[in-house]
Amino acid sequence: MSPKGYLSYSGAVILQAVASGYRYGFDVMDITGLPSGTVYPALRRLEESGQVVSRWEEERIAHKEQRPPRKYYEVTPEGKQALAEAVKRYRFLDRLLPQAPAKARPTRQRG
Amino acid sequence: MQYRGRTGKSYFRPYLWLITLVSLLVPRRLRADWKREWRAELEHRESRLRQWQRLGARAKLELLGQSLGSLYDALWFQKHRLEDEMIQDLRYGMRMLFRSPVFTAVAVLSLALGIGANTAIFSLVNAVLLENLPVRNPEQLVLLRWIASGRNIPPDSVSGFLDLNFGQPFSTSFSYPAFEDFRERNEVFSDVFAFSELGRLNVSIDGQAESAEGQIVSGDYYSGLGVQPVLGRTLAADDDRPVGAEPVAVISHAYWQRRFGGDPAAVGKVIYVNSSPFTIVGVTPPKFHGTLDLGVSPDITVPTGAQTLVMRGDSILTDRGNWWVQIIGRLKPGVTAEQAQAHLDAMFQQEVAELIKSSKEEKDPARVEVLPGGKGLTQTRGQLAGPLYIMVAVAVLVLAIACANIANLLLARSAMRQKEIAMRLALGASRLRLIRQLLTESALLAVIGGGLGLLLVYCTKDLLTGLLPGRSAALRLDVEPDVRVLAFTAAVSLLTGLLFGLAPAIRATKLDLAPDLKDNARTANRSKTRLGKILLVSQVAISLLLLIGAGLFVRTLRNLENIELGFNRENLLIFKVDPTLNGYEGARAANLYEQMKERIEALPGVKAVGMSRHPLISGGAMISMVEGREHIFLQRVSPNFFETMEIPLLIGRNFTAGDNDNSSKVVIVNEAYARRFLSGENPIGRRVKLSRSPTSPELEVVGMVKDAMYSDLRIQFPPTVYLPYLQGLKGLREMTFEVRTINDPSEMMASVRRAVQEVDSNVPLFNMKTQEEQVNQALTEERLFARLSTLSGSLALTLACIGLYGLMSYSVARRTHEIGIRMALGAQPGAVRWLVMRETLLVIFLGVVLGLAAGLAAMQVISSMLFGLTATDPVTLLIAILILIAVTALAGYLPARRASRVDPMIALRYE
Repeated sequence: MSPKGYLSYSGAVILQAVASGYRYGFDVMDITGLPSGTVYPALRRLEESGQVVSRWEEERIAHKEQRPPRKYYEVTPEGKQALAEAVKRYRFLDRLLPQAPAKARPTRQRG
Repeated sequence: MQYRGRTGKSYFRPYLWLITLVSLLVPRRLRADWKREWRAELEHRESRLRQWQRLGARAKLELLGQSLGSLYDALWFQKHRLEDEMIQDLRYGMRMLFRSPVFTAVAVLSLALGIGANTAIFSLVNAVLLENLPVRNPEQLVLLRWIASGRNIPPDSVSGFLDLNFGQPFSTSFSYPAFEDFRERNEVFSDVFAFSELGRLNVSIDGQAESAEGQIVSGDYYSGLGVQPVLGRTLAADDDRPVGAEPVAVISHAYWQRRFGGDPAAVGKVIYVNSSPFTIVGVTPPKFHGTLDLGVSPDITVPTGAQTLVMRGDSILTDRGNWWVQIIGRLKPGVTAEQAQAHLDAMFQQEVAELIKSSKEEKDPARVEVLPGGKGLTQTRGQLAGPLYIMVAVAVLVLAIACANIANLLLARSAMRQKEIAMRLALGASRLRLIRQLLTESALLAVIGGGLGLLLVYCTKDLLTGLLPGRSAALRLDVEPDVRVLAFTAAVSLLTGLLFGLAPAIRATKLDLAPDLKDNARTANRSKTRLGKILLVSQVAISLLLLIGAGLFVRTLRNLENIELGFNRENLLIFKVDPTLNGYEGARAANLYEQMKERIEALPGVKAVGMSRHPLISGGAMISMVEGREHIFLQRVSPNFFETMEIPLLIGRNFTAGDNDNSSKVVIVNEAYARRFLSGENPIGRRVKLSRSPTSPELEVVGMVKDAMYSDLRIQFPPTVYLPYLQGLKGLREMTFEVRTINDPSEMMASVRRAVQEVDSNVPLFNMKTQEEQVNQALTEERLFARLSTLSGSLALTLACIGLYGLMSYSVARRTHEIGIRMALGAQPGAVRWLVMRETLLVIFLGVVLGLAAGLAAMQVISSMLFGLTATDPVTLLIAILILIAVTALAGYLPARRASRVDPMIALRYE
């Protein structure tokens, strides 16, 4: 078992992707090029260790697009710290992915 | 909610179906969320693609590919499934068990006893019947056996095990030349070796004489078995050459520890075995007791080359008519037992044909068989199988009762938990989940019970070998619970958990929700108590079965203990000596015996000293066949044997020192003999023959003694002929001394031993004990069965009572309201008591009928083990039934009394 907060390379890339604003599972897959079978379990692991949290999209937005609400992920302060550690190990990690366009960011659900 | 595309048209979406399918793998608690996330992503992507007009087949295939990843995702959640529901179940189960400590204690204790009993018996079965010898690849070994097709067997002399039953004698003994033929000419064995039990050896180490068990083996015995010494070397192939070989011996680990204190200097030491010098060359491993029968654990092993030295006689290594060695071979890889048998039988046929041709008498041919040899000789193992299986049956019955009992307790408890269960079902718990929860609780009980049971066995493992009857009482068995025993206990625990847990769990979760939630206990279904009653009836029946068994065994033991022996067993010390192993023969041996006798007689505290060929009640006897198939028992005795044993001389005279080889042959008979063969007339002066053979001499009867037991407590007063031991000195062998003491005979042991050693320190004493110990030893098996069956019978009865009490208490508690109404309407306490007792008595009655029927059938199995009563002994049956009814009725009466004391006012308010 790796120590708490230690990130594997794919874990670090996925965390970096989430931190860069790619907050849905499929968006992360698109930008990192990793398959869903890697991205989702990694997201679960990151969530379990408290480096990301997930929330449901607002019903209103989803309804407008005639689809169910999506679940999005956000980096927690611990996640940011772990990412900073990871950047020391995997150099250029922070420059690997472009910042996501603003509209990819969801609006928070109130309440 | 189903979202559709903007056109409202539904599309072909296999990826969504896949998600639905895979979602079944996700733990139920997380499933909805999980499914929602995946579907949302896929539908979002799909709607984007559609917007861009790119939702072609290729894109759909891609989507399908991405949805395949959900499988990994779902698998990732599996650990949560486990930790969530199982831990939850376990935690909840623990809490429920702790909440009712009395129930838990009763259940765990009865399970510990039930599983413990089964584990104990199984470890015996394992050690006796299942475990292979601790040698290399024991499954490759085969033991040779021959079977004659008629009654007349080919060899002149067979030693070792020979079974003459069923008209087809068989034995595992072969002649040494036959073994050599097999060894040199066979094509099926990679190794083949011979061995034979030597029995008791007189061993002298550093001038101190003692007795030890011995065996004789061919030189390749240890290499064939693949047994490595812990010290020194084992025997080598050239050790068994008759000429020129240095006499060497290998000793067992136990003997090395016992006699040499584990001193490595034992190797190289010269010891005298039957007065010949042997050099110890090695020590065998502690767990290896040789390939001889169970319980025979030779201390000293010598090679066949030393046969004349230890057997004191002519060489029988070249004698084809004397069959005395057992043969084990190791099959070559790829050779099957059938092939080996065919090959060896062909070789054996030449051997037998030769023998039959050279023999004057008509003999029947024989064929050879191969048996699995991984356990060595299995004669005793086979004999122990019967008693062991009875013990297994008893243990299983006890466990069955324990299971029924716990099932009953669980049923009653689930009735109390009805509301909780109904609530959980109503809140959406699935029935399967609830059953699993309830089963987890029973599995917990079973595992705790099993653990305790195993602990119980571990603490009492030294007593276990004592459970084995007969000769094996002293055997060195390794009953240490091994992997197989642990696996057995685990399996039994889980199985019992399932057995007693499943029915109540299914029953408990089959609920009609509405009335249960209203806590309407009055209308609760009756079928629940019906299942409980069926279980109780079977418990009562099994209890009766075991009680009858206990009664029969206890009465058998008492019959045998109180049996009239015909001699005085008190204040009598017995021991054996065999100076013939040291080379004493005939008159010299007799002279030695007389000297020993005089020395002992001179000791203070000794009243009289007698001698006989066989100790009494030891199982050993000399038996001769006369007139048809009648047997007589023979015993060689010293002149004052009858005085010492206090067997009264009725008429005629006693033997004297003058009755020796120079005087006319005389005998003394007992009453039974006179009754049976001399038609009850005065036997004095009559002449009798001791065998069917026409050359058998006629002997004159000079006296008649009162009847006395001889070899076995179960053979009451056999027709016995006593011969003076001084007549027939040629065949004189070991003798048993009987020393009549004034006080406690065990206090005389040391001084008697000294007195005998003063005569010749090279002749060891063995089997020294009091006559009472000897009689008790003969009853080991009976005592064991009496104890075991009493224990299991009372255990079963106790469990049945707990079950009955529990069920009736529960029934009374449930009917409190009804009883209250009855009493308010004027029912008398007596009538209420009867109302409840009626149910109890019905259960008991049905149980007794069932148990009696089963008992009458089952007891036939043990009828051969009984003494002085039949398997359907009415007194025993009556006592067992009365005890059962009395105790169970009491258990049922207590709730009935409680019912009759119900205050109608309180009862009517009771909900």
